[in-house]
Amino acid sequence: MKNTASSPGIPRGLPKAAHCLHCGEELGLSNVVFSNGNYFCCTGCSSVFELLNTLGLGNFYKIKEEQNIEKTGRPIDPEKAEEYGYLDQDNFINQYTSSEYPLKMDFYIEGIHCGACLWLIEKIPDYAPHIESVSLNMSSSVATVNFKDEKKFSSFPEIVKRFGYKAHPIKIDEEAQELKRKENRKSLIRLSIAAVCAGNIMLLSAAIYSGAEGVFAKHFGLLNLLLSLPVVAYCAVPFYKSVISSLRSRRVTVDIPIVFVIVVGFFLSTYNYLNGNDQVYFDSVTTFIFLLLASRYFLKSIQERITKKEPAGRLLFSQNRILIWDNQNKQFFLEPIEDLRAGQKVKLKKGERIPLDGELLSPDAELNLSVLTGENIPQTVLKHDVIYAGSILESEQAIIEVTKTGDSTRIGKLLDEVEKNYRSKISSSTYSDKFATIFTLLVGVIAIISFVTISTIISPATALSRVMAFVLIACPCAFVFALPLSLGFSLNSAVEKGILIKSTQIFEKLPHVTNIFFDKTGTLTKGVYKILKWNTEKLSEYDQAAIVAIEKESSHPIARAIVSHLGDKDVKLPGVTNFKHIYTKGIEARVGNHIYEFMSDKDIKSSNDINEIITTKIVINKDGETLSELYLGDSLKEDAKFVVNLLRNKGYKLHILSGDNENNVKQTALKLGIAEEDIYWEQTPEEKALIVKGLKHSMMIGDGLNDTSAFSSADVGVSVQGSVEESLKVSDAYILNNNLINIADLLEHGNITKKSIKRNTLFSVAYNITAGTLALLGYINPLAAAVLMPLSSLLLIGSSLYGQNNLNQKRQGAIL
Amino acid sequence: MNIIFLTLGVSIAIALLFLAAFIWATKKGQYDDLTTPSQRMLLDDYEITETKKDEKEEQVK
Repeated sequence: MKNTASSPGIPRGLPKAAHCLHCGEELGLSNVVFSNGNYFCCTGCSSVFELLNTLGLGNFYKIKEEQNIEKTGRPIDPEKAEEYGYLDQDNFINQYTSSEYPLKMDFYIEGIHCGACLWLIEKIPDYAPHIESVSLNMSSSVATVNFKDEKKFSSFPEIVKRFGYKAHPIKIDEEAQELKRKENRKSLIRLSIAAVCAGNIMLLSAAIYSGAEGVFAKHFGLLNLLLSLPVVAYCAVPFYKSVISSLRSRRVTVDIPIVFVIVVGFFLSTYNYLNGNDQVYFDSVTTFIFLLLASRYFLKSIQERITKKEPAGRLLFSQNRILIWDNQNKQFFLEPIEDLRAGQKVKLKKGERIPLDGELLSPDAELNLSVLTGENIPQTVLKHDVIYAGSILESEQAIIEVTKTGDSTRIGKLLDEVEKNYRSKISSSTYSDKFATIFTLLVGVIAIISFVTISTIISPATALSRVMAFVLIACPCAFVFALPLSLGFSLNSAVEKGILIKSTQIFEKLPHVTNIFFDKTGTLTKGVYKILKWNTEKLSEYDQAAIVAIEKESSHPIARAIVSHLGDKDVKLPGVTNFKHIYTKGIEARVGNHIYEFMSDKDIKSSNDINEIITTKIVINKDGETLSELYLGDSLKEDAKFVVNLLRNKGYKLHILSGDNENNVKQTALKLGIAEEDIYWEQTPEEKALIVKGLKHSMMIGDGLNDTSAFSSADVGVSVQGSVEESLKVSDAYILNNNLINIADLLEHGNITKKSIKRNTLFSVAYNITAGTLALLGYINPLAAAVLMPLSSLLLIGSSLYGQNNLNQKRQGAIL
Repeated sequence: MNIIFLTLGVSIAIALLFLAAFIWATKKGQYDDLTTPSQRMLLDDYEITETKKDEKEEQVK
């Protein structure tokens, strides 16, 4: 922790394209730490690196290298992590664990991303004295830990904490978990039984169709009947259940025509087999059920891969405690946050996230307001200023009087609103349900009319058999498995590209998007604050040393950037006196006989470089005369301009919606060629939501909590940064690797899916009209049904696949 | 041609045998977690490298 930026002999400048040795983060000048000959992005990374090496766990980096893992998450600062002492206290142990051996506890581990993490976590029992074994499930990030000693539950999270992960003890609802596991296994078993039976029935039916007669036909038919029994009676049970529950709630779902087909098909076939007729459809019915189960299992497993990234089970304790002033004892006590009431006084320390709305009682404080503005540069607030929950304290400490807590804070209300919006978004009915209603009604009406007509013209017996064949053949394939498959393929290829999607409903909304809103910092730009231009050659050695000495007094990011830009001098640093902050302007200090001033200048000219956005100009004065000028700022992401042009050429209307100031937003818009009337600056989260709501068919792309209410007001909200858990709670899609090109991909996915749904619908309508008519006219025999039904299904599956291949080829073409 | 019934019986018996094996594996939890075991076996070869024992114990504490 100590030998960081201040370590002697930090080289000047940085090697090209430097990345943090631990987490792989790109290094800017404001985030570089040099330690024992290696570069890191923060002290957290360098201390984890050292710890791993002293523990003999250096293979962590070897595994990462061999598995080609470039970027992992940043370690969580152990100082900020919770205390786990309560895990060893008697009242906790009695309440939450059973006394039986083995002593087991589950932990949800934040920050798991690759095989190297798996290795690190599962190697813990090799050297930790109290831990028997650890087994980590990577897809759910849950580690099950067996302890040797009953009062040492804290030992595991304490070790993990030092590696830069955060462990939350969770009380998994064992029953619910077990039930879910059993349900998953059951659906796999259902699928396998359906596969075996349907396969064998097909073989036997092929024999019958190709002319098996007499005793063979009779016995093969009997075998078919026997083999289809488990499929209809066991494998298809989920459909029956779903129909019963949908009938209870008086809703028409796509499962109603499915069950209708299964029941009619099976009983008609059984009746015909027993009476020696040849209208037997066991093969069609069982294949139908198998394909249905398979497509649903596929979709479910892809969806689970995404939702599993959220914490399983309930977090045991919110272990957050805060220093609250006790009037009787005249001192601060650490109390649970839940006990906080308005009117109380609290003390917060550097780096803490403020959990309340309140009024500042200390003279001043530096706050990182990124939760509300999206900007990472700390701002100074003065006594009696209002402080909002979610901001992070950057100065040493602050005393705050509480005005609001929990859900009634500004951020609490925002999140509440977000949740409400989402509930209403999700409850809207889907395309396939709407289709099912129409389809079911139509088939029912046609069946009744045809039955009446045919029985008057020919005979009731013929009418019954033809109508049954019609119902069986009129298959809603397009919606019962082609749609889930299309959505599943889209989801899957999205996941592979690093786009996580919460609900497949997004694909129905994407094709309608016309307005795209971008957040600026962290979305279009890198959000890394660097020195862009500074001519230091004219500065004398003495001035440079003086500047470093002064800036070391401050913890402001600008100061840190200046120090690491100049590098440490071997010369002894001069003494600094009279150091003072000049509110909103800069700092002033005396070194030797000279007074140095660092003033920010509002007169900013934009940079000529296509990617640089200058946000701050600092003028350094020495004894009242200008000594040097330096420019700091952010840069656009490498692909920002390309993606913006691509989207504009495709006809989308682009907007920028930022919490940053006018100058910075205008510079960004100018570089990207976005018109001035389409940009909004200094927007609060509430205002962002209103603007997005004001335009129809909108998509919001952002990176932080300050964009969440805009996400939920937009038709589609896409989050590009932050933790997966939090982002997926508030947005529809989450982009893992921070590449903007994925936005274009996502929109393309929407179009492809829409096209493939359209194609499938069209095909399905044509098929149903033709086959239905033939069935009613009496031309459909079991052979025709056996060929037509699977063939139509295969065609639809092929059509869904075709769309995906198309997309992949397009993407390759664009890269070449 | 009656041999067909024998071969048919055998083929269905084999199919059921494999089905039973699959169901057994599923119930034993073989398909519960498809990601971690595949990663875990790649990591068997990596051991903790030797370091000074005192230092290690100190770090753990």
